[in-house]
Amino acid sequence: MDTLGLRLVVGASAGGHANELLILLDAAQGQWPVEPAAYVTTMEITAQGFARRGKPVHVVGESDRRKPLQAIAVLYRSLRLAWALRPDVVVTTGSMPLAIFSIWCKLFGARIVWIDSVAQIEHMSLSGRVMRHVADLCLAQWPDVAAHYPGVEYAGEVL
Amino acid sequence: MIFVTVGSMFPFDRLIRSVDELVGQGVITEPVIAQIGDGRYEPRHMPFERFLAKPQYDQRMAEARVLLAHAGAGTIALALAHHKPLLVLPRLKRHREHVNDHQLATARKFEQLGHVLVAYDERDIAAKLHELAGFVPRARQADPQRMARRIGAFLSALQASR
Repeated sequence: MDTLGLRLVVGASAGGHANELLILLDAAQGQWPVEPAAYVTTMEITAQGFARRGKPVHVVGESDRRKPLQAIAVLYRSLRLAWALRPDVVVTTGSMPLAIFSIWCKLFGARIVWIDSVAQIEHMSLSGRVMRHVADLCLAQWPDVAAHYPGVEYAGEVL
Repeated sequence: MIFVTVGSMFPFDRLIRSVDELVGQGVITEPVIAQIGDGRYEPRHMPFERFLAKPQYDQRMAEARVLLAHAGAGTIALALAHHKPLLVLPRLKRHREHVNDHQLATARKFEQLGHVLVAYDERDIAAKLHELAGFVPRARQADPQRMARRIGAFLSALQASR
């Protein structure tokens, strides 16, 4: 066990989710007791944005509810990755592939911080509605949305 | 210049085709540049690019007079950061443009807040583009610092408990 600090892994799907995470990480400079040890994303094109931050970036592949076969591949890759990384804590802005990864990490003992996307304006995402039962800290980015779900907090918005 | 963007790599042919036709019909006379992602429809009346690296994307945005895009929260935020008038056409599930209709809610919300104009149907694009000329978007206040502090407090408590 690393006695120097928490092993923090952060992750986000390609596209808007990754943008939201990058904004959060910029805002977190000097605010967090630990820096991320690794990044998890879903496509190579997004990996470059995280790679600039100088830590390993792992790509688990893309999947959404329309593509069940890809979800199986993501399940497998994220399981292997969760075991290899065994983080103490995961911070993620979604979406489904990162929910899957987070659940594996949780099974291996990690604490989970789930941030539902700012695009979720009327209710939480499908993944978010599952993850609010899994996450140790669960944030929605609109006050009305957070108020609707027990245990979900509003703590500002990234954009 | 009008910059039309699908906001990601996911196709949004309904937007691109509609704008291309308006250019072809002479309804839109201003130069238009399109970013079309993986779309099948290739514009015939306006220059286009499939993908743009982030610096080039930001540059297109900065150069544009107005923007026309999908109703992605990221795209809306970027337009607001550039203080550009933005017209959005929400991606719809029934056209298989997204997994659900959350862009409709996004569009309505940001429209109510005075940040964007919305074309709820592609046939409204021309009229709404006209309206966009006199539209001044309201600035948006986001607070990523607050979120970072909240998560920082969670991480510190976790660290202290070990």
